[in-house]
Amino acid sequence: MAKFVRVIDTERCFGCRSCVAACAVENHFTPEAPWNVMMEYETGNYPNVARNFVTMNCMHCEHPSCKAVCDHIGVHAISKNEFGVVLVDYEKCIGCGYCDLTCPYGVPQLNGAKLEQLYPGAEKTPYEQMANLSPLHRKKAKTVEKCTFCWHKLEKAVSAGKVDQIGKLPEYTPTCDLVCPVNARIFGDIDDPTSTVSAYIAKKHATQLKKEFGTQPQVYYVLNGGDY
Amino acid sequence: MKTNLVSFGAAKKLLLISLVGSLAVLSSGTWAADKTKTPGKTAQSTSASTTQASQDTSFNLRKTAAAIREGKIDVGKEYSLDPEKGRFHRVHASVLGMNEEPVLDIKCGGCHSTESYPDDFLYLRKAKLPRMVGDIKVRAVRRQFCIGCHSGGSVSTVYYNPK
Repeated sequence: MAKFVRVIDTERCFGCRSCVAACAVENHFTPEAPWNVMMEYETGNYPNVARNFVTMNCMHCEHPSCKAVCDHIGVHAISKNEFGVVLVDYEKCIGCGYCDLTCPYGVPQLNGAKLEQLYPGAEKTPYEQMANLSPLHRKKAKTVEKCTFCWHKLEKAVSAGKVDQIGKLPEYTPTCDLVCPVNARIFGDIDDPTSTVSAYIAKKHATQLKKEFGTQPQVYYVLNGGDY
Repeated sequence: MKTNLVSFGAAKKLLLISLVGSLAVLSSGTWAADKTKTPGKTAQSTSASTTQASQDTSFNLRKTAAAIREGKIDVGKEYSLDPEKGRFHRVHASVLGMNEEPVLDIKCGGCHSTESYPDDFLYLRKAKLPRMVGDIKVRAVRRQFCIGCHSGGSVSTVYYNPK
């Protein structure tokens, strides 16, 4: 079974935020609830300083703490599918915010009381029109939102029997990974030892953030200085 | 409601005395040691009483956790972050920290950071904080504090490091 992961090379990323913009357009996340955020900070002491850029989205953990708490209180709105993608069912979500509390990365975002159309008065965007297809695509006020690894694109590949093309063809690849001008983001199947993402993680010693929580995130980072 | 919030805020201000280190100290057992330390005691006896106190705290926690799960302690039915009605704050602040005989020395400042999050902490929700609750700026909680009680093998519900 394929397991999809992303690797982000912070040594290549220069903070252009193309991935953030692409995600906003593709997924139309609500303004107060961003799915993809660029963190920017300095390290070192003058004159040996560096500016670091780390783009963050859902880590799609192997042991998601958000799912653990959601299941524990009996809501069961968060699931992890066979491809490793963690998804929120907006119809089941009660907006308690517990997942938001337990996530070490602060990923789940409680959205506002009102959801608006991206272009009010105009035709709905393709993503907005997708709302009728699945509860996972239908945004709902006062619920939790987060990155889905563009599941609406991946599931097309699954239903077309083209899982091996995920991460290779643009229509089957998360949009943020398509737009990076310096190829700092790679998406693919980590269970396939010949995949680009597997090779990149191995070659660059990519690691996970905040490993002490034991959630085993499925987004890997190439960090300046290597693993820690 | 506004009055409640303000009075809650005032109470919070008063309680912002036990800061960030309290849970970390507790998890290492030295909190219990401070409670039992007496001048003139030998290292051995202090160590013994520390162990005893740690066991007592652990036992109390276990009993409290069981009582909450069995419904013997009323923490409400609302799953929310509301500081007064929501179960989350009632469990962590009222039952475990702010009642007359607290099991743990948890105060607002024991969990909520009093400083801005550094950017290299890599926390996606940082932009939403601090939030104003009444007249108090509520900052984020560093999840490192949660690991101690919510990791595999502890008395609390396991969210981190499952075994």
